[in-house]
Amino acid sequence: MIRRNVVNVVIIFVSLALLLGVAGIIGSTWCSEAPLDLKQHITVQLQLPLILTACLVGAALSVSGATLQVVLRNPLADPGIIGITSGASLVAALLLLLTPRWASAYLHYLLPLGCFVGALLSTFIIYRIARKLLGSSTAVILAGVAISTLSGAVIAWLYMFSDANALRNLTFWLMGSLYQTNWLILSVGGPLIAAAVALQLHFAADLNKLYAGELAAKSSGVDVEKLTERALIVCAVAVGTAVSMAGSIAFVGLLVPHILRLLIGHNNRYLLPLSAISGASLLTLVALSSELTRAITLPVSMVTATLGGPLLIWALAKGQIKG
Amino acid sequence: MTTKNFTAQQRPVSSTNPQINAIEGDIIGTNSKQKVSSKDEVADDKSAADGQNQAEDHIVLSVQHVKVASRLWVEGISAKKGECIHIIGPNGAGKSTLLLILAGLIEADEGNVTLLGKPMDNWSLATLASVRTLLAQQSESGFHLSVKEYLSFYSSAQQSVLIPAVLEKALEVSDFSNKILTQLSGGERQRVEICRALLQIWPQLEHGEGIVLLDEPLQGLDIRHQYALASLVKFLCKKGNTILMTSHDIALSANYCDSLWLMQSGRMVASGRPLEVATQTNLEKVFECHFAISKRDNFLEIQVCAPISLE
Repeated sequence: MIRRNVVNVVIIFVSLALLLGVAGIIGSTWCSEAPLDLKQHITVQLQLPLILTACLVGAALSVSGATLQVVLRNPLADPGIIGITSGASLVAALLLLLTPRWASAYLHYLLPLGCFVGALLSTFIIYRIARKLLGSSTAVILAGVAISTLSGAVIAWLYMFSDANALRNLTFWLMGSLYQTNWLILSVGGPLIAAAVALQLHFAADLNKLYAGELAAKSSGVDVEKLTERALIVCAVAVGTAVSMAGSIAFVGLLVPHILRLLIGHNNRYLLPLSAISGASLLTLVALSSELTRAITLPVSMVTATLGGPLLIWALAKGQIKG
Repeated sequence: MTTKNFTAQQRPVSSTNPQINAIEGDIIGTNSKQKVSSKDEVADDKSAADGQNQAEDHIVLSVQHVKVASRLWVEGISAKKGECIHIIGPNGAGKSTLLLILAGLIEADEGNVTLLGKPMDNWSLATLASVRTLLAQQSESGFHLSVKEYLSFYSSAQQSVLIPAVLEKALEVSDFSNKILTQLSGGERQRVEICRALLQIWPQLEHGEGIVLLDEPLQGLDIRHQYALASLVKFLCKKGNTILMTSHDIALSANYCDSLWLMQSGRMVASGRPLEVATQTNLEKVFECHFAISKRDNFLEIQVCAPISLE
């Protein structure tokens, strides 16, 4: 059962973390001695987009991770592991390394668009392969791993034929960065992610029934095939948008839902919204940490993986031993 | 030569739980009454169970000329309201397929399936879910959720208690309701699954308007809970619910059902009152081993001798 007190404590804790992140990022400018209009410019043109990007990307990745884990009946599923991100990464690599010089001015907008298409395309291919194979949830994961491996190989080949500058760009992109966006990109990506996250919250009650397996869910009135298809599409849209805004960010989709399940249980009506806020505040804190170390730009994946690795091991150990 | 004697299991095992005994005593009482009256007309037999619905059309589920690939071919059979039907037959006889057809979860290649007078095609998954429930054979979940939480996802919202008293008496799941689902034993897990399936339409079951399809619910249960479940099923049927379950325990099924359906390689070999269906000829033909059947104290004693010779 849901432990309401625990839910409340988690909500308060996560909101405080979010607040701390936002206050820290904006406060770091306003406490300095710079002139007022410069402060305003920095806040509006740089820091608000940064915060919004962090929140949107964090929420999109965490909620999609939680949804995918239930839909595929596999606690290991993650947007990265099942290959949605890899399609986006492949397109990003192709664009970064192969775009002719004259087009590089448009790269800033070409890249998000390409990533989005890449994510949807790889999801589509994975889903088609999975349906051909067994139609089962394991097949989706296997097909995802196959697509990931393939695009990883192609990216590795591209590495060999590219110059140093493009290589550096690509490496940075692959490790994720929250500084790539501006208001224009946000005005397209924001509504997309908001809609995709809202739709996933709407699936929560049906997702709960999937815990008992496909037949039981079907017998209790859930159209499992339709739900799986819709959830996969919505996740692909959310993750595709997130990846096109901030590059590939590891681990968030796996880590956040896992730790939350340990704390508040498996009810998706609580788990999904809390995943959204937790993911948002986690990435905001990561953004704060890279604001504070302004001399060097920290790749997001590096921070999330450093934080997330030990936490995940702890969560897994606790989950297996508990009870 | 091996002899498996079912008679020892025949009578409800004296249990340490007085509540279960109470249910069983109740059920056995009606059971023996029905057995006594079984010489009379079938209609008489049934009138005790669903007297209040005399005026209505009694048939809640029926299949006509249903064919599913090469797995199932049933000419025509139906379930009446309040009927307790056990389906027996060897492995691969099509019992599970028949249940899935009746649940409206797979479509027949040919033929008609009617639920409550309406063709199955006209039912949506959502409305089906509120009148019938299905216990399928085991599916594994990799998530570490607790029994209580798991059951709460399936119980209808208007319920004040998670597990109704009758279910708890027969299934006894409260003892491990805080345990993690994946750490239960096979039989405990099965009891949770049965509980889950019944909770789905519990308001209907309380009003005696539910339809329950159970695929091998006895699988993995200890002997006490096997008979407790059989009693629970009879109890729910007495209220007016219609229950169909498959089983491999011929002796138990023959004594706890109103109607016994005997299946073999996708076909219905015989159906009707257990006394007429569980005959030596029928059973020996279908299960390909020797049976000894006798009637004693209102119970059918069914023994199987030398099932398969290994020499």
